[in-house]
Amino acid sequence: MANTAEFRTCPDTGLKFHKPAETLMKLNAVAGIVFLLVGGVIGLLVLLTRWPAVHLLQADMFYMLLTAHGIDVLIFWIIFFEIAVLYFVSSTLLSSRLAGPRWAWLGFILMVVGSVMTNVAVFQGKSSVMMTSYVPMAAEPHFYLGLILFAVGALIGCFVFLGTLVIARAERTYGDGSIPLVTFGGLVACIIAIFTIASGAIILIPTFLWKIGYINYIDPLMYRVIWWGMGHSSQQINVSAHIAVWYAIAGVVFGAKPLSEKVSRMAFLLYILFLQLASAHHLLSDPGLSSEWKIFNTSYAMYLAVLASMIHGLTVPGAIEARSASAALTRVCSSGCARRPGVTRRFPACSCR
Amino acid sequence: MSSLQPPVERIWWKEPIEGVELFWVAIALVWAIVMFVMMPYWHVYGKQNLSNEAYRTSPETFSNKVKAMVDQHTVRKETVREIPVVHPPEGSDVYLLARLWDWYPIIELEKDKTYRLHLSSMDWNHGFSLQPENINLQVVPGYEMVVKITPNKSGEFTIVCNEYCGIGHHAMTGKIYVK
Repeated sequence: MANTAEFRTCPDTGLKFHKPAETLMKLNAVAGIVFLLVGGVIGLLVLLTRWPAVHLLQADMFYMLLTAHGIDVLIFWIIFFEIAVLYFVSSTLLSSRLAGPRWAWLGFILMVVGSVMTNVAVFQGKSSVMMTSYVPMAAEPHFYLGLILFAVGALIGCFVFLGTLVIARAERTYGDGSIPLVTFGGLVACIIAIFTIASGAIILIPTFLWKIGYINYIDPLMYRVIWWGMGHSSQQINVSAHIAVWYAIAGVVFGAKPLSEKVSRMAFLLYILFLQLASAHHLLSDPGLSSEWKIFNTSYAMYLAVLASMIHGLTVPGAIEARSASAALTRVCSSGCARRPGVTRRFPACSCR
Repeated sequence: MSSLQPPVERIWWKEPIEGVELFWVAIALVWAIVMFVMMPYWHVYGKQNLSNEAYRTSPETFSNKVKAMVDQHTVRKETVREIPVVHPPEGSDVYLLARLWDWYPIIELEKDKTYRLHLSSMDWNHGFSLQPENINLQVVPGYEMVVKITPNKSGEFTIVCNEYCGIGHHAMTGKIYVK
């Protein structure tokens, strides 16, 4: 069992924080925000260059910064912050100790080393290959190595999260029912993250070996197909994690309860099943991939993922609405009206007329 | 704060779903099905569609085909760089090559006649983007895409590269004339 001295209870929310986990959440979140800041400032420079009246930067500087912008904002910011979210939704929401804080530290250090290494490679100026880095256009070896180290670190973070779920279950820290909806959303994000990181590793490790001369050819079309398994899916980790965060904010700020656990969880499940296939919409105009393959992946699969988002689009505000309606009802009822059965979870608030 | 806590009902999957929520799921599902049907529908009945014809090739093989076409069908040369303008016969195979940082050669086609356009890259990824029509195709080295085209407007069209390909990317343009 966990040592109780390692926990503190938040006086505002009543949530129980495992101190080593809390430190790691803060570090990962801060690292994420730093990359958002760096990427955001660079984004401003990109914008000022694309604005014809200003046209701030020359081509070489522009392409270098555009590469850094893409990687910092679409990979590093998102994944650092999501590791923080994963530790919060597992350790804190389940009142559990974090599995292997040392492993979590190792993961964090690898992610920092990797992200800094890739940024150094980009800012040295010989790796202006965009976030996509399509072969046979090549970056410097440490550009790929940084991304690989970052991916390994993130993968460790994912397994720390899964380990925490196992510990919380074994130690019965949250009763014996299902995990909370927000944690479930985090689990979906984690599963998508593992798929994303695996795709990244499958293509970037051979590309690194190709760059340093151990492999002599990487098929450019194969690279595109597998790379988008990472490039688009990294945004899908974000989709799932930020919807989990929406549910969490609705709960913390409004005290909202999901309309239906079943509907919300099914919608998350649709993300696991279909969202990554939609990565194929980046390959719609490629040679060598059949129309059937493109249509299957970008219509059937993508629209089922869209369905999931449309469901969350209703259920998050719906949960808030239901909560405020029932709160209004409670107020009205306590001031003398008869409570009408069955209206507490409808959209229109109680009327006493 | 119950989305942050385990479900109140332990057997939550047996709780009934409220009518308004189910209704929304049904609307969303119908919309998803409409969108899904549109894509194969457009593929069958739409007028501009992607080609399914592609072959593996190599820069040497492809550039030899381009050279053969240029030798046979060049009608004039343009600009100080003496870029050949090729006028291939109706129904023939037309080869367009992408390289750092131009499209080679310039092609002259006739309106309402059909050609087989072959595209490949000599070096990195490029993007064929025909402006102002906005027809876009990915050009991947090692692959030769074949697209059946029938120009239905005459005029001068510009090909821009819409896949980043290094420092000269923004200057990589080409031309197609339709008479």
